[in-house]
Amino acid sequence: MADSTIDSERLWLIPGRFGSARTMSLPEDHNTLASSPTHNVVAPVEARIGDVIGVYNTGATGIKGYSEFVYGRMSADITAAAKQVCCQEAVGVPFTFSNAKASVLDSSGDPRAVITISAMTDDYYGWFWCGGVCPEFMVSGMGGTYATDGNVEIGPIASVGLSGTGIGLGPVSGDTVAFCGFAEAAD
Amino acid sequence: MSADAAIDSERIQLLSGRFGPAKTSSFPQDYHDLANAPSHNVATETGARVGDVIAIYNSGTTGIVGWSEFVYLKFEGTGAPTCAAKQVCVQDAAGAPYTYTNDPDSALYKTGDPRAVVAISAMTDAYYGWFWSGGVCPEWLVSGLGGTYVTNGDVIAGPIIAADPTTADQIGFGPVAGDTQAFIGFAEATDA
Repeated sequence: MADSTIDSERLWLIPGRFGSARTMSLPEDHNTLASSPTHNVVAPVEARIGDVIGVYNTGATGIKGYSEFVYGRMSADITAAAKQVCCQEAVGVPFTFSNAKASVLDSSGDPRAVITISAMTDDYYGWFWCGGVCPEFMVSGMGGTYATDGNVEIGPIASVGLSGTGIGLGPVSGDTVAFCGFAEAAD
Repeated sequence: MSADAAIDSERIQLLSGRFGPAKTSSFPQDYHDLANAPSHNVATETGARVGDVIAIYNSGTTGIVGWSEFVYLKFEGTGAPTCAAKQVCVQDAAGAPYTYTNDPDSALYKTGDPRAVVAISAMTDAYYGWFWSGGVCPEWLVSGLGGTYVTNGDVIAGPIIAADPTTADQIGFGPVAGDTQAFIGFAEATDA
């Protein structure tokens, strides 16, 4: 099916995929994470790769609730912009993300897929949206639509290679069901 | 599908961390019965915000020893079924994230919603409160959560999902699809 889009307020990423958040406040009290001195920098600044933060969206813009961000290195194998899905780069270590379908280890179904919050310079470090509701309140430019493969329905989603060079969001495979717990006996 | 059945509270564990890390590991305002805390089943958010997660340790005096997690949500309970403790709830179709319902007819996605939770008490429509979202059944700190939980009759030992039992206007638990496996990590290369 042709590539399509989904609105930012109809997305929710699973929190905790990179571990517990270490802080619940913005780095250096910046109100716009994408403009903080820790983001899109040539070397890690006041954060280490793999660090996770959780910040509360007030709902003034977008959905009310927590968003999580992980600190990683961007391999901008195609021109980077906000709202792009990224997966681990094939030649990189964990926490090195790429936005190019042809450059990643596993574009379709990488459980650690993240989303850029701004344009980024190749090989620079910064924050990626990795959990919770879309952080429209604290990151300008995150509202609007996100690329999909045109097959998304209500339910669990996965990263997926798009028909072009990028990565987007798609449905999980037909037989996959997202589970919520574990039964220790038959009913 | 088999006829609807039930599973004991002590044979269920919900995946932890599905709503993010817990922000505190103590009772709200030191209440020892969470369902009666002043933050629970209230018209406006009180002492918590939607999406907040807390974790509390069950001593094992009643139920299983271990951590339980709770997430603060808004409850949508217009019409049937009547809300009660131990009901599985999922996101309401008309609500934003963190607005949950026990009504399968109002659910955004009832069978397989990975964010399914369990009511810890009866709830008033459009009120806010705590829902069991992770870990062992919190029988020690919430009275009335012991006993059985509704299933669709097909549960076997293993991963479970929110499911739509056939014989009643409710949401329960069911097994994952036959081809689903719980993954625990990510391989960055093919095997040798």
